[in-house]
Amino acid sequence: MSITFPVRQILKIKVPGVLALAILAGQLALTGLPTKDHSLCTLKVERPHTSTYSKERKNIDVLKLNITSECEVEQKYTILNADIQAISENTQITAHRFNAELRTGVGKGRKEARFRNLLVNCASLESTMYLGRASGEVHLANGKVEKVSGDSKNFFSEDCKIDAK
Amino acid sequence: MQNRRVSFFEECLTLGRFLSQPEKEALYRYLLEKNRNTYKNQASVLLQDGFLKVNFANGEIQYGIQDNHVFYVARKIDSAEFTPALRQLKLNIPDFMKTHRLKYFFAQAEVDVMSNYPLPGANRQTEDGYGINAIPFYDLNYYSNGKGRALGLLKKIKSKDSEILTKLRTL
Repeated sequence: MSITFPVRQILKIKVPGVLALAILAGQLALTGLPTKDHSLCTLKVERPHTSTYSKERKNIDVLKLNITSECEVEQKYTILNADIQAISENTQITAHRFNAELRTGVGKGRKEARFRNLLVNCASLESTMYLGRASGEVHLANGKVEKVSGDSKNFFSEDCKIDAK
Repeated sequence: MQNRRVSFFEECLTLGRFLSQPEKEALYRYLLEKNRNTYKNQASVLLQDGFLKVNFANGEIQYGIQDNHVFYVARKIDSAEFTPALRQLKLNIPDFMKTHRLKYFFAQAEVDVMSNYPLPGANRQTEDGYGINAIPFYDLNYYSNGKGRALGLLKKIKSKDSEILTKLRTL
């Protein structure tokens, strides 16, 4: 004897409309409304490099770190704490920590803040591997503050050894 | 007639973005020493009028007092646009202390301006916006890089006058 299941009844589970709305409201309360979840600003940290300009003009060997904070909207200014990481005795160390610096927004629409004079003197011309790193906050023209951070991704060699501070 | 030698300070007025952090710190201390009387007079005008305009290096500084705070805005001479008021200092202190506090503020503002608006010199200057060290030299947090005033005070006491400051005083 064959048994027939009421397939339509199994697949069609009825949820009352009020209960469905309650579930949806509960989910919204927990997760919030869907928002645009991306940062308005990014930090571009270039690899630390020896400054040819300082060498030519002042005859000093200097390691330079260039950083740009770029936003999609107008910024008032960016404050950054930057440092230079080095490989020393098979480990990563902070070779130099810069004082906190502030730059106002420049360029078209004032969307960029450029940090171009983060310099540290070379103690010798010994080849060393470096990486640049920075974090801070961007004060937007609309009054909001965006946290930013970034690094130059990889260690690169430069003919400059700075005294670890 | 003997030729006058250019002082190291005059050379610094043309360096702008090429002034290093130790140079700026030494210049701040030097200006405090050298301009003691000038700053005293400036403070008296500012406290009386609530406004003061000073030209320094290739910049113009306008000081103001609002809600018990002193602030400054600056611009390159002959330029239309002022910087925002990026620094301010509380003045909710007894009157006799205000002049003293203003001296520090003036020296800091002048170092900021000379590193952003230098006089024309041999070095190429780029237009990269107005840049300052976020923690001023008059704040002890500067010496600890934001790690507290107590530590900053210790580090400041330990620090000696730099060679640059000696050079500024003598050359």
